[in-house]
Amino acid sequence: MSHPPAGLTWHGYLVQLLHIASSIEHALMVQYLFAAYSLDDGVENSEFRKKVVLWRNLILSISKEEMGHLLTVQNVLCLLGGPVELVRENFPWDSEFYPFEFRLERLTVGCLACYLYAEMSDRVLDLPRELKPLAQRAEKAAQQHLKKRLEGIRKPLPDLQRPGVHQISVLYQRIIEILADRHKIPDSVLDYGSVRFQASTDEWGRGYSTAITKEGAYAPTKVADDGNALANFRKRREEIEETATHANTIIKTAATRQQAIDALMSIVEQGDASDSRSGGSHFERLGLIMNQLLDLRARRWNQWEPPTHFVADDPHTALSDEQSDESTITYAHSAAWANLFNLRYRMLLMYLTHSFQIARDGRRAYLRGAIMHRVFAEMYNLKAIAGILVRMPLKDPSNALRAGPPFQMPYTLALPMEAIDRWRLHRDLVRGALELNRDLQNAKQSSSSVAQLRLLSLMQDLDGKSAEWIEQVMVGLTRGGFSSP
Amino acid sequence: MTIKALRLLPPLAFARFGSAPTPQTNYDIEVDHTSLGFRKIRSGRTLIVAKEGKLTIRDPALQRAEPNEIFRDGPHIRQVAPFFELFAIMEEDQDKLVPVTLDLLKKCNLGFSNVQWKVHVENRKVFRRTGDRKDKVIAATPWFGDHAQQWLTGTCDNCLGSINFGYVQFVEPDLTDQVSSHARLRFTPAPGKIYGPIRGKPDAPQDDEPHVIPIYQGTTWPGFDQAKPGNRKVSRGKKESEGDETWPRETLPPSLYANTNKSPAAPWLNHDRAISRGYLDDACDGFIYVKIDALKGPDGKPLQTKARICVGPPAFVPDSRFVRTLSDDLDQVVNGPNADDLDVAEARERALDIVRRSSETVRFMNVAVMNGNSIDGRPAEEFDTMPAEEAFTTERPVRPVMAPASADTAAILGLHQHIFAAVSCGAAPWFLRLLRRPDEIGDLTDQGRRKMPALMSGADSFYLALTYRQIATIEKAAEGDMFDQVTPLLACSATFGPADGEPNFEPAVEPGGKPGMFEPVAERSADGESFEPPVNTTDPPGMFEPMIELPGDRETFEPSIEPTDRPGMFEPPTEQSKHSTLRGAFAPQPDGPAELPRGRQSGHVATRDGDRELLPWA
Repeated sequence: MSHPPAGLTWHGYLVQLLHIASSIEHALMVQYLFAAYSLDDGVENSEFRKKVVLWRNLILSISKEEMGHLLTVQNVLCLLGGPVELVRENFPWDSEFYPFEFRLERLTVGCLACYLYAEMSDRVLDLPRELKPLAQRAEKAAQQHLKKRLEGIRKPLPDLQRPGVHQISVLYQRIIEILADRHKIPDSVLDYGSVRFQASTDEWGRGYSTAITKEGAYAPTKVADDGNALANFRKRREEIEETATHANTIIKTAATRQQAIDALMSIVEQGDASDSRSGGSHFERLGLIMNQLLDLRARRWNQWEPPTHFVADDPHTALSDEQSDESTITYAHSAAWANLFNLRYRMLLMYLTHSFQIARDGRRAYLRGAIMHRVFAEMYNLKAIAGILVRMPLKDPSNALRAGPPFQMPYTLALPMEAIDRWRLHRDLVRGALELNRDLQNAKQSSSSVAQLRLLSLMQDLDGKSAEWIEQVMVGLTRGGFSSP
Repeated sequence: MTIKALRLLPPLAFARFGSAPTPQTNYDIEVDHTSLGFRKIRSGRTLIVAKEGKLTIRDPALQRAEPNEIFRDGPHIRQVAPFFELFAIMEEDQDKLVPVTLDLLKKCNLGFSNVQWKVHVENRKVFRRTGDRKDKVIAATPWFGDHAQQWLTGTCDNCLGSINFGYVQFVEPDLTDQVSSHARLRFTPAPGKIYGPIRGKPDAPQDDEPHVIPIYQGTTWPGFDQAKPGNRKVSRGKKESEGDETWPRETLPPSLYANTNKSPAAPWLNHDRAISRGYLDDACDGFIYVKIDALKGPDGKPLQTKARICVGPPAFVPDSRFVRTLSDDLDQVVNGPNADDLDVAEARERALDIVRRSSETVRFMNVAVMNGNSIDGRPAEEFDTMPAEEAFTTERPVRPVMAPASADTAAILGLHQHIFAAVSCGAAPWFLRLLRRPDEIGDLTDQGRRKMPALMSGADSFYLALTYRQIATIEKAAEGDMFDQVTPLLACSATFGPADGEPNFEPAVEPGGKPGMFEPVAERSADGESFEPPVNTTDPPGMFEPMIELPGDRETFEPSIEPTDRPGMFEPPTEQSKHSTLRGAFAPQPDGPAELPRGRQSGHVATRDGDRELLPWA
């Protein structure tokens, strides 16, 4: 590009592209989480069950890595002085950089094909030999799935065979090109001091760095192409199965331009299959699932039951009756749980956004640590509630269709200006959760299970403690007169 | 009736120090499943033994319920004084343990006067280091059958005076009830005093600690140092102590005895120096023996059995359980390292208990310090922590295990409680990979150090790991979510009885379905048959559709991988497959798509089976 879009400087355009990248990573993470949660490991056959658990773990490992991408992109934004942005497009998805609309779907062959297509490199010709047929078939299968998805909907069907339609890697390439150009992005706009606020593997991951190797446990070496492709493939597949549930979460801080570029490059390499040395790319892991899923389906064809809960696509709560559609959660008790899920999702995002506002080496560094723990805590809450929602009716208990976790974006992720107001916001959200919790516990529904009530009771305890703690933080801020955090 | 063998239960008991005039009353710790609160202490029925040996039973309702009154008497800690109860294996029914009561003895033409006890305990802490038998502190009683207190007076050749190890007492039974009539012995431990060298001796370190009772007159223990283990016992041409020619090899770190360093006294903070102050305490362990003289075993000797007693310090967090305890190790010894004997439901209960114990453990950790943080400007090396320990072991700088700002007890405790909440409502444990395996304790990479249990030392001075069996239990519990296994509230008779604290579930199975409220129901046609995929004979096979041949009876599938087929990315292990014809499902088809096998059709199916859709090849 010789000039940025009209009305934007190069810096502004770069920030915009990073926001889009962030949106995509967030959307992918949520999409994968939904697919993982949709898997039903309640099958009786133990071999089948082990496979389903493996698939779920593989997909969850990918979603964790997407979260790493999300955080890394925020770090680059920090370096550029751009605002941290965790918003994602709600469905429908309109960005030119994602091949098709974002959608929450239970895991099927079709949606798996779409994921495969989305994760593969734009440079099909550069793929390793053994991956090319899969890539080609993934493209065709994804096209068919999209066609079915759009039946009855007046929207154009994306042509996945059109050159350049696969844009995720193109997006990152464009970002990197602009960032690497000192004329477009001069050194003066880079904020070295932002590293104190950036997310790090140290805090979010399991180690101080991502350079983790333990005889290939996390970074399998490339299998030598000795001509025995089948044996090599099987060995590679075993490696992936053995190790790929270990998420290689990339969260890189960016103190310099080169570090930012390297961080973005590592995101690209982790996703696509352009480098099969990258420790089991997303493409390879999804491909493994596809292979095993179809193998099992073939062997059990006569008694095949898809290993998923029968959850609706894109489930959501509605603000009013007029907005109901076939995916609206209308069964009252399910809607109540879905509201709680959405609120806790908002809480997670707010804590995460806030964590970028507190320096890790400042006087209030302990608050940063506490906030990060609350992000993890909300992840666990979401996991538990999702496990409930995939079993609850969407509309009516007599209908087989289940609700599923809605992952609806809150109306805003904006943080207040003053520190004490940020904590007040957290407190408000916790109080809201307590209220929804009380409503659920008091609901006169025979569908309340012991597990649900237990979870509600425990969450109530924990939220009560959180509210008390936040009050103390606010008192401390009032006395100390701090403007941050 | 004939008594064939005797047994003492428990076979191993732990007494705990205390200087109060009366020991602890009995209590249980109960889990409240409805809240995250820590376990509740509830008084239990208690046996009270008078000085002369008479027994009374106190009802829990009449006992003090305040924990501080259960465990303390003013400034004094109440000791734990366990009972050992005598049981018999009868000739007539050898599968049962029968309490030896007055009634049973009478039926065997015996009485309580035939029951004799003997106790032998020792403190070998000093002997362990010096190898000098004169350093063994031994207390033993002769056989006795009366009900007076039998004091355990420990003596050793290198001690001037004796060490009180507590006393034992044969409780006087009576015919009031079954419990009162049972033959039992009570072990009451010592108060927990410290003994040291006699002052003023030329070789003894200068020590005027007021609470230390001077008693040790030997020359080897005061001044014993870390250089001795494994070396010859010669100093200035003279053998320093009795026993072997060399000092015993060190199998316990020197930090476990009081040394002469100024505070902080840890050896690794003092150039690895640990010169003993010459202290010992009144802990002991040993054996409780019981016999019935009038009964003879096959060898002609009196029927006899024994149990073990150990004495330890008080439990200062009695309402919590540690994440790994001796009972977990014993469980592994008895049942092996796997969890094959557990079904998934029981594995989940145990896994949940481990998670609960994890948060209980965090409760009494100062995480910031144990993480290796610098505290108020004080360097991390000053504190006795695992990061400091490994730094000195590996000779590298101290490095916190986790990001310092995230090491906060309240925050970590909350996190564990969230995990507990999720698992307790049905989520399968997802943190298996974060658990440190026993063979990974030496992994001091950042990844390894951060595994769970975190920040604690195992018996080998490396990071603590759960037992293999505990890990296997969690693995089993992680086999799948159990949301469906928890029954609806109104359809079960869940009770939380005070007696056992555990709910008593009556699962309600819905007619025709599995337990659980929201089991998805497979779609069925009107005649009850499962839907078959509606297939279209004209569509070619899909991209990912394996070339399945469907024989008429749909029973057998013959593998037919052509040796010339070029394997594709997802070539299945066809030589192992006997149930499918997977002809290089993803191998390129340069000649175009193969025809569908006869009988195989493709097309879309009902939405429930969305993934049965067959996708086009082109």
